[in-house]
Amino acid sequence: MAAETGTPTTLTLKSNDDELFSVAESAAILSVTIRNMVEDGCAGGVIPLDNVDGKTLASVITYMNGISAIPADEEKKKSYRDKFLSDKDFETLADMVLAANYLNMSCLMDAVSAKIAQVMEKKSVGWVRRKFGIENDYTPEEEAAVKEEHKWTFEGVETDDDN
Amino acid sequence: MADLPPELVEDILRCLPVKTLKRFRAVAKSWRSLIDGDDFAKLHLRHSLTTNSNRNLIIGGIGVYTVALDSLDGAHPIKPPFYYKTVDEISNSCNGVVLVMSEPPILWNPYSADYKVLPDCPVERAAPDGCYCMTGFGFGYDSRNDDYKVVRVTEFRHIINHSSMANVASIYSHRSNSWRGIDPVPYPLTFSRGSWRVHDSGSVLGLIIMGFSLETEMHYPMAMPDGVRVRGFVLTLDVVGDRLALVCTSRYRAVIWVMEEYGVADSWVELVALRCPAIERNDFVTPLVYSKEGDRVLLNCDDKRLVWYDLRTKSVDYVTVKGLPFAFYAEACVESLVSLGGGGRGKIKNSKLEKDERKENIRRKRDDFLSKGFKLVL
Repeated sequence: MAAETGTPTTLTLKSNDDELFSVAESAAILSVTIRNMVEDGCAGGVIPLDNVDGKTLASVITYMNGISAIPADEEKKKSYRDKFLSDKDFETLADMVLAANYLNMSCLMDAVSAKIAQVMEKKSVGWVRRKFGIENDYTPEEEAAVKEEHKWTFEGVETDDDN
Repeated sequence: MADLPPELVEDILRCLPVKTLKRFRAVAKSWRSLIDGDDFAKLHLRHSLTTNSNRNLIIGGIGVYTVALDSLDGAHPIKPPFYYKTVDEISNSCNGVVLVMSEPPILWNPYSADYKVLPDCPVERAAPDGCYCMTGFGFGYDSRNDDYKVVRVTEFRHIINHSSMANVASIYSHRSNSWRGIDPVPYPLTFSRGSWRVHDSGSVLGLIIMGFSLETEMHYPMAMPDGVRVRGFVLTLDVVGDRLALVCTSRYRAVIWVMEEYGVADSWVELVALRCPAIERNDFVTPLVYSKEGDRVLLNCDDKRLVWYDLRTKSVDYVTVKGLPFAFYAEACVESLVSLGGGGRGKIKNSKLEKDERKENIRRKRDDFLSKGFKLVL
């Protein structure tokens, strides 16, 4: 590999909406999916990433560059991740967890999952159904009974602000 | 709207506190069965333990309170869903479950409001003439059998010289929901809150530590720390961060040793060493929990003050928690979905649970410890 001879190698990634991105190989191989491609020698041309759109890929690449610039200091990496995710909304985070899963980037996946959980913590049942696209399959009586079982958990729930 | 595959939803949900998860049972039937499932309860618990999240203090004084460890933002009352007298009757926590030492005893998950009153277990033997009874309990998790177990020992003591005459012991299995008589404990018990101390007149030190395995029901001796000072100190056992701790207190000093690797004699290290004026005279110091970053230990000083002990600088920092009772009992407790309502549920293997070997090993170590090093509390 070129990286071993000291010359930085650049990879070209292609999103599913045909945007092209250049990224240093050293940053891109944070993705196990991409690393495997590089190791198998299939990273010569353009790497198509069929499950990631351009907007999400741009964000993931920002993360790859940011985190790989930090030397081995877990605390600094953690605070970079926190800052990187701090202003992202639910939809962006959901796209990102899908991308991180596809790209096999476990540290990003764990951080995004935890961030989504943090966003959800005080949300209502209705909010979760809308955001996750889940159909309510309870009858009104069943739903009332399920809620009644743990009535105390409905205290302190945020009023929805996304309608 | 996000359409996330179920395994990613599970990864997200395992990060949530118990209260939120119980609320989200109402989202849809599939979410209810996921959240109520034994496998998810284990996944959630393991995630909380490996990331040091969802951790609380259970505080008892007049009433029971919970304090979130990450924020220490105040003591919030919890109302037990059953009758109880005082919180001194609440034992150590294990996987988010505590034992309430009433008669009959109760297993209680304070964060899911789930509880189980144990069946009656009469002491099978009348106290011999001239003796009175003392009863102690131990509680822990048997990882091999995936079972929560309670041990009850009733000791008969001579009315005049208080020496131990005999004892009867029984063990409760949550899986079978029944008590069973076991062999008496082969040494006299020393009752002291939070510990099970054994005096062995035959040993050079005068004191040894004994363990009891919930899995094999065997008693076994444990090594004391090399160079521990015993003379003039009161010794008790505790658990901090899943490690066995030996607390040595004297009038002016408190020294806490921890066994970094359970059962390995060489792994005892001196964790905390405090003397007046960092602590007050005659303070009884109990280690509660490590900070999230692992650089500090929270100590309960004489059931009146909480202090952080910095492991690097060896200095103490007082903690103010709003709403804390004047005198209290504190126990670290993780929030968990561990369910007590059933008993004897079938065990379904989940391959996801085994994907991360390192986490698995941490869990195993912890469970072994809990199954062996359980505490006996009066």
